Amino acid sequence: MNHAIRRNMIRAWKHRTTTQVATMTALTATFTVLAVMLTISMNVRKVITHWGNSVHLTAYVEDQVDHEQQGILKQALEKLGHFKEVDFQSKQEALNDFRKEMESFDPEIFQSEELGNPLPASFKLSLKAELGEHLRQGTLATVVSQISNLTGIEEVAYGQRWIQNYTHFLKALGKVGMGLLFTLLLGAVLVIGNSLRSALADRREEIEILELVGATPSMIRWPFLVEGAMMGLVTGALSLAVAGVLYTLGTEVIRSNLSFTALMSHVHFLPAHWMFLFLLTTSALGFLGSYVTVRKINTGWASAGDMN
Amino acid sequence: MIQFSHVYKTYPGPNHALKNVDLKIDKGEFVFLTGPSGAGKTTLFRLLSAFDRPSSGEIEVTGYQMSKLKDKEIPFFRRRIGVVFQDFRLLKDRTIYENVVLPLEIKGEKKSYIQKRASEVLNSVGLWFKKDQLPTQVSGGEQQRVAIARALIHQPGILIADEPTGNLDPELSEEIITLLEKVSAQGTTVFVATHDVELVEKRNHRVLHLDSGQLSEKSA
Repeated sequence: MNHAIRRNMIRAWKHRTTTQVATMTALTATFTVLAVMLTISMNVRKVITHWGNSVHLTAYVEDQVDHEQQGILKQALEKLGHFKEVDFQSKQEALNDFRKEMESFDPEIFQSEELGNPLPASFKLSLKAELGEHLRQGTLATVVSQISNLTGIEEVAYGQRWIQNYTHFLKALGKVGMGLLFTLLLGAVLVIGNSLRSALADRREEIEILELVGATPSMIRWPFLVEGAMMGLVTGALSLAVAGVLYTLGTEVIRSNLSFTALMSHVHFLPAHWMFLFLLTTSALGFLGSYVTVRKINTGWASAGDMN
Repeated sequence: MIQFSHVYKTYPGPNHALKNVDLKIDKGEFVFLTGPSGAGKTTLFRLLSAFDRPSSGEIEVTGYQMSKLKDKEIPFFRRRIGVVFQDFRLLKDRTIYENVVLPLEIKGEKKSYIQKRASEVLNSVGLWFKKDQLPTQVSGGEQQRVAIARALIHQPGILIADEPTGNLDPELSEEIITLLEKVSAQGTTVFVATHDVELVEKRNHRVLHLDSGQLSEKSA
């Protein structure tokens, strides 16, 4: 950057301290909301994914399937390659589990041998890939269909309704997040644009003089663009610091007042690569806000009206 | 050096600011442009300094055909001319030295060359000893001398001065015109717009007169 222009930029900062502080406060607030929103969104997704991964598929086995056929079925299920665990539960084990769960209601009825055993044997299948991955790629239906097609499998249950709700929730979360993100980003661009518009008005005379002595449009624009990007970077870093403090305080409050201790082990602040991307985005927004404002600076014929 | 051929400038209204202006000024000439307020003097200077385009006709300045000048070429054209205004147009938060060296810094010249030229031009206008002061700390006449030094530091072929004595008392006005004459004597074409008839009559220079957009030549 031209030395004279760079010096002008530093001088302009010193002369517009109040405006700069106001702009930086507004931007830091906007970016802090963005950082907090990203942290919440990231952690909600993590927790939900964790819940999603605890979902098991249950493949019920027909009653006439004998022990040997059960072994063949287990091999066939493992061969499909979708599952990290394939556990067989016999009819008796299913009944035992059922009795255990129901003994608090009426132990005598459920312990009675007269009831027989209407429960089928089954395979408990835990997915190798994350549930979210299957939902994104739409492969869950294929997996279910492959299991159902195996001889000896009566039915596959996988909490269809729960998964449907889970999918809808993830989609809604994504939409709300995108909407909020877009609004905040637009707000940031406008804040930076407005700040630089006022800077342009303050420095109108200076710009005209620079034009008069032969400064090119890019020489005049660059300091504003660099100023915008720097403002984005600095306020982005400040907002990460503020969001970090809020995160620490927030998690402390949740830990001491609520019993989500197990869940809290999945909750973290933004990782380093997210923070890097965040700063890159805030800098780019600063640059964009400045560009929108200063792209019309014209040293050509169009500036004729300003000279008298 | 400067040539106008059948130049018209019409603003919406329509307001004919310049009507069929023909003009030729050679290298090193000192020319006054006189005329009442609203005669079109500022319009003519705007055309000369590429702040406006003619509605029709041809203008040539220091070898640049103004009708063919592209937007991106305008800054480079302006580095070949020097412009001085009635209101000085100095940066008030910059020292006299910093104001004067601006055109060379914009051109990206070396620091040593900038210092050498600044010393030359500020000495020639008698203000080297005030180089570290702000424009607001010196008189109006001195501010105009700073503006002239800034317009000359990059050794332009043409110096255009639009009412350079408009804000100055008669004594300071004389001083400024004498300074411009020195500049002209060194080979720079000097074109001065003024409505100060007394100032013009005291000097033996070519005089052009503009009235209602029409240019005529006056005998000195």
